[in-house]
Amino acid sequence: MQNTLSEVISTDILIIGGGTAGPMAALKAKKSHPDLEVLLIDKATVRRGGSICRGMDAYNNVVVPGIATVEDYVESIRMMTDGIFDAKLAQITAEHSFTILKELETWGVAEFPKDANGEYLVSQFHPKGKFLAEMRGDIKPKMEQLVQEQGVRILNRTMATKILTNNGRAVGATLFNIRTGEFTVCKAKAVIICAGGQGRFALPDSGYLFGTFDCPYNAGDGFSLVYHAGGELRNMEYMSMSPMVKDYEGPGHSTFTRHGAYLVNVIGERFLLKYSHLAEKAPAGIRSKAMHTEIAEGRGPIYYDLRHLSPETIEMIKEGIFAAERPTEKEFFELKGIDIGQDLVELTLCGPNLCGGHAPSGVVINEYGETTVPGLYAAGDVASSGWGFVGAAWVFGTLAAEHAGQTVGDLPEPTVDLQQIETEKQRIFASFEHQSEIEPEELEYKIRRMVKPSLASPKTGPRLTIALQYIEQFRRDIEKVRAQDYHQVMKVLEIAAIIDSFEMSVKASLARTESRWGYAHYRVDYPEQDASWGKNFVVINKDTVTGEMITRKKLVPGY
Amino acid sequence: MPIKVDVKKCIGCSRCVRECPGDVLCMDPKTKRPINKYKNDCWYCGVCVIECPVGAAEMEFPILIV
Repeated sequence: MQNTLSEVISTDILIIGGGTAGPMAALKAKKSHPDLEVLLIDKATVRRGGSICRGMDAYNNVVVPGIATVEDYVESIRMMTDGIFDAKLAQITAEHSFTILKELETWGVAEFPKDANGEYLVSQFHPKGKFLAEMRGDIKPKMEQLVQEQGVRILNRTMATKILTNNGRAVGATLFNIRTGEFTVCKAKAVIICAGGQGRFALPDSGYLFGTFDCPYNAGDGFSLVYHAGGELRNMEYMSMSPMVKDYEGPGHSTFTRHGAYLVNVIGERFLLKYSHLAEKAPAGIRSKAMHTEIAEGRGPIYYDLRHLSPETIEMIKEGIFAAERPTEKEFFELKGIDIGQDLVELTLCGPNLCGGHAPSGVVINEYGETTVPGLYAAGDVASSGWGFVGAAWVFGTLAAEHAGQTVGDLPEPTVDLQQIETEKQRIFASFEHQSEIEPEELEYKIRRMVKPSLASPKTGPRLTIALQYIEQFRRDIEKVRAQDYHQVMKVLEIAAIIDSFEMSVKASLARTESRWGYAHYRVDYPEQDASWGKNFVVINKDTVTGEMITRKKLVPGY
Repeated sequence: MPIKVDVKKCIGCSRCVRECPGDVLCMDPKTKRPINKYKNDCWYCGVCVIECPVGAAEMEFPILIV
């Protein structure tokens, strides 16, 4: 069996995912512990991988002293999650957020525009308080450069397929190069997962599989890595469905509404006022419910209305989205003949998707970014930091790296289990041997077309139960799909993660026998909020004996 | 169709292939120019356009999007 290991590499800290949290973790690990070896891998490249491959127009959760307070931030997240959150994580995010802003500014990674008085441009997006700072710059290449300068080893086009464990502790991962097919075992004293959320979940309304709001290359790989290593996840019943520009599904909402855009229905009514006095700033689940209701009652389509905004504000919006975040959105509007300052912009509800940044879902972490698996950390959209946005990615990337750095020094070289490795190697390459003509894309379509009908509210117990039968079928189907090259091998592995996410969401949705968060979780058979659920997460993990996915109620920690 | 390459401008440096987050592109072994290998995996992020040093890359939306 020994000779099946094509290559074994060792590092002190392995960081999986070179998007937003990962490079920050790599940088902070090296800055705090220069003697440690740090390896950063990404399925794409560290230069351009992840949700903000082209940058981002705002640092959406920063407490700028004199403008906002930590208390208001925690209160905002409490409102957005309806109390189903770990307040300590929100507090930590807020407390560290401004230090991070100053670091990014000092390092020249991002610019934060200021007004004529030299104050940061900060606006309100959260229910309470102003936390959203305008941000500019091509962040990713600059971060990559800093990471390289610090001596971090980078492996691009490299996917982690399994966290290796020894007596329950993370001791490394199996790696697979998606272009060359090279299989590598990485031994590591600590592993930090920054692999993003589940952006490739429901089939978008456009019908285009990769036309998702969040990065479709984040296929829930991170959730599955932690889950199969024995870790816990929570709030997977929270279905994130945000209003997005129809067909493009690019970011729009936070940018448009923080600058004062209205949401209007087909008769021109600013309908959100009927559902919440917070109107466009109402919690996402309430907005989602409002939009569903307006459409169901015949007052759709729904539009963004920016026509009342000043030309300066329109310019600011265009500059932010078109220059910093999704430059192709400019081309999209041009091709569609839409001028956002003159015309209504039609919306669609994206998702559902699962995300620690835009929702409360993800891997359970503590104040150091540790998951419930010793030696395994999580930061960014993969982690349930409670609507952590980009701030929690940077803050918990930092804290996880610093904590891992402190703890690995005394640890001996880890020992890996050869049987685990051999089994995983067979799983990775099994799809090469399948004799069918079923292509990965066909199965992906079959699965993802069922996500919205099964999981978008209103949910029902019977439909969720039927979804479990579909999922069993998907698990049989994937045993037949045939990969013809390494790119397709990657896709089969991603599809396995999509099936895992689907099962997590269905089981968590069945477990929460109440309705909460507006249309993020509305059960027709349990239409009321249940006070006993008001203090509890639904937690998911893998039963160590049966290997089954199980759920349980777990008390929300006190603040 | 995610990438459209102006073959007169393209210098064959393969930076777009190297950086495409979706692994959509590859170099055509004959022409030594980038081609779409997995066009249905494109997120139309525009990285190919930004990374191109000579302005030879243009991005085309999938027909379902526009």
